[in-house]
Amino acid sequence: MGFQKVCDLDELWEGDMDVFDVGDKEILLVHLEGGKIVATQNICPHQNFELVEGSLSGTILTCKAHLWQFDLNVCKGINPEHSVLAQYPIEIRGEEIYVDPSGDEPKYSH
Amino acid sequence: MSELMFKTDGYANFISGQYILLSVPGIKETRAYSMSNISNNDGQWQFHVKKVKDGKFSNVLINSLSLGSEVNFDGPFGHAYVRTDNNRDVVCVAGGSGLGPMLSIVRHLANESSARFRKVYFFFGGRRPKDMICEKYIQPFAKNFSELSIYNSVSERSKNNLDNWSGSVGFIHELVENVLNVRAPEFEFYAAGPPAMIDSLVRLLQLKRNVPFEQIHYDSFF
Repeated sequence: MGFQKVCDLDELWEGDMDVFDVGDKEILLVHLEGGKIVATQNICPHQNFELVEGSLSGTILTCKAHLWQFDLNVCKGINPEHSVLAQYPIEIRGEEIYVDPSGDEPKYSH
Repeated sequence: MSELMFKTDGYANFISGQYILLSVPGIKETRAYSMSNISNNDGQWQFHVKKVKDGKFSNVLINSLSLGSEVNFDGPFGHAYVRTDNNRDVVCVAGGSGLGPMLSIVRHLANESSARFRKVYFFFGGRRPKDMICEKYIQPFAKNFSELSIYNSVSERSKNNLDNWSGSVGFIHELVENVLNVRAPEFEFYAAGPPAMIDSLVRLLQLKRNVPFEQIHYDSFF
């Protein structure tokens, strides 16, 4: 499927996150403080809750349902440690953000 | 708080900490009640029921049922059941009628052959001194464990409370933090109580103290 345009850079400010349908995936796009942009899954690996409704503090995303925490810098669980999040490839072309939805699959764990 | 016991034909088959959905004659909806006893061959199911002022369900349970009355159960359900696959010391945190399922867990653990090696820290929170009823239920199991410590806290900071209570005052999760502090990740946690209590406790344990998610067991519906 390859890279698809998701949004413009100025639609996603630093410290913000938003969810987009890209190809057949529901992708959470996060603009971390410091400038890094991360594309990951929107559904928590634990249960069927949307991570976009969670809270973001620095690089740490906390799911609002059962307080699972992830470090978005590496897309890995803080608590529980064993959990991981999908990492979709990203490209910034000029002022536009592109994501390759075929670059990963949503992860699940319990 | 009232203790009720119902009897079914055959085995009362559940894991300590679980609940059933109960329906009573004349009321359409169901309510969740956790068993306070342990699984048994006699078909006995015990519950602690808090009488809610103007609560039609608890009112029927406590005042309208008589010996021989019939109710319906659906279940058992729940995630906050006792885990016996590890040797960690145990912390139970109960608020109000959350005492029932925590009592069931203590009863279960007390019967395990590993009990004499295990420490149990039991935290109980209520609003007023008169709510503080856990000692008489929990203390009798002290002899089964290597240590059983009970910590009580009343949450309402009224003058009347403070005049009649020499123990801890504040929310129960604050007492958990004061007692366990950085040791929290060493324990297996079970909790039952009002949603606000569960939320504060889980935030403390999981986010502040980094207690592994798998070591915290609760159902928040009380």
